[in-house]
Amino acid sequence: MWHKHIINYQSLQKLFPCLEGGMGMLAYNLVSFRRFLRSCLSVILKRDSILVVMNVFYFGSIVVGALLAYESSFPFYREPVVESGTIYELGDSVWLGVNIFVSNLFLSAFFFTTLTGLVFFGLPLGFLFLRAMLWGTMLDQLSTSQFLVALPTLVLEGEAYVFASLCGIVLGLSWLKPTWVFEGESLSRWNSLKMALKECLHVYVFAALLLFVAAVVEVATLFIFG
Amino acid sequence: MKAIFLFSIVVPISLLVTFRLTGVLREPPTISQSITVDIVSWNTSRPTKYVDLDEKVENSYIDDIISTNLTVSVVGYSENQLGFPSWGGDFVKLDIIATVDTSIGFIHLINIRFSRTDVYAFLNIVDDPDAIELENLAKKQLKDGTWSNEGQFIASPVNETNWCSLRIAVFWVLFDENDTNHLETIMLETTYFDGTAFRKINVPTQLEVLVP
Repeated sequence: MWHKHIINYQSLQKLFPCLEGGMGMLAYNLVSFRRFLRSCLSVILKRDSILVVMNVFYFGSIVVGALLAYESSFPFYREPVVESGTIYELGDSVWLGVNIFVSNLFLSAFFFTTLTGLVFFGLPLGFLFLRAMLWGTMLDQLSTSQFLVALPTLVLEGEAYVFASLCGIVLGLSWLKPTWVFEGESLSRWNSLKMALKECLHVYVFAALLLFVAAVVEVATLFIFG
Repeated sequence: MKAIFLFSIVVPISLLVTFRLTGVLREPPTISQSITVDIVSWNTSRPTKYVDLDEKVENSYIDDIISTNLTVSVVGYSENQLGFPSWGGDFVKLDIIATVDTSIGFIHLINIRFSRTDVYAFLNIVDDPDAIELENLAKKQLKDGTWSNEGQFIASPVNETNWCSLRIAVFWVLFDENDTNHLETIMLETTYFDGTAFRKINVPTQLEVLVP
């Protein structure tokens, strides 16, 4: 059974070399961890052409969204800021960061972007476009200083969603048209899907890392700038 | 390829930042002050037949710089009207007249906001060029109150004008069995630039049709 294969410890070791010797190695063996990240990166870079296209599509859509919002018939105003006196405590910030990270990873990235791709490979692009347009519209309403402060979060989260979409597209196409995903290999649909799943696990390591850093940056931004 | 990958992120983001910093995408104006005038209310006991009400509900705000006036003309009440706009229900015909005059700066936006709380009514803002009279204004958005509790009519000055007026026709349709109180709030929101900052003046009126 495929799921036995996935959760089998030896398979995990094979898949993630840094786990060799137990979970503790993850923390101590930095060299191994780096090698593991490199292996994930090499998997991602195998799809560099599609990633470039998706980056242009996503970040370009944000620009288009901002321009459309600016040119739209509905004008936005910024109302005077009412000081609520709320200062984020460290505990609140950590909790907020965890919330942001978990919801972004599981709901926005995994559920809406990747899982939908498994059903139909075109859907992740739709969600990516929708998200980009929303970002563009929201950015248009910010002051220039707020806009510049929001940019790092925008780029980090955006790239993570591009990775998540890549996974969705690869998964969706793997069972629909295996030869498009694994060129030159004559795989059955089932084996193609299994290989795509392995690939996506590697890609998701980077997506999760980016979303984690984005959550930290977002919380730090809220903490510092309010 | 790594360079192209980076470029695919950097180029659109740089474009966005450039647009914002060079003013192609200007930041939205900040409203430095928002003033809301006391509400003016009007009510009537619900008639049981067609009645010419011909009443005016007026509210305004006047200071050294701006004068903004909202007049809601309650034209009449119609019971069990078979055709448009109530299709068997009752309705109150309203004419909304707004005038704004500034001595300094210019008018930036006029927004008439309609809101209600009860479910047995809806608002039909007549979207017909013959029913909308605009002076120095251009219609920007009309959000009908048929399917939601909120309706909006937004107009912006054609140029940086310091005087404008509008008149729109509205049908307030009531489709209960004359056993529910109805409440409608109509607010004129005027945003203008007084030479140094943007200010907003809210002039509300409230209409009630009560169970007889």
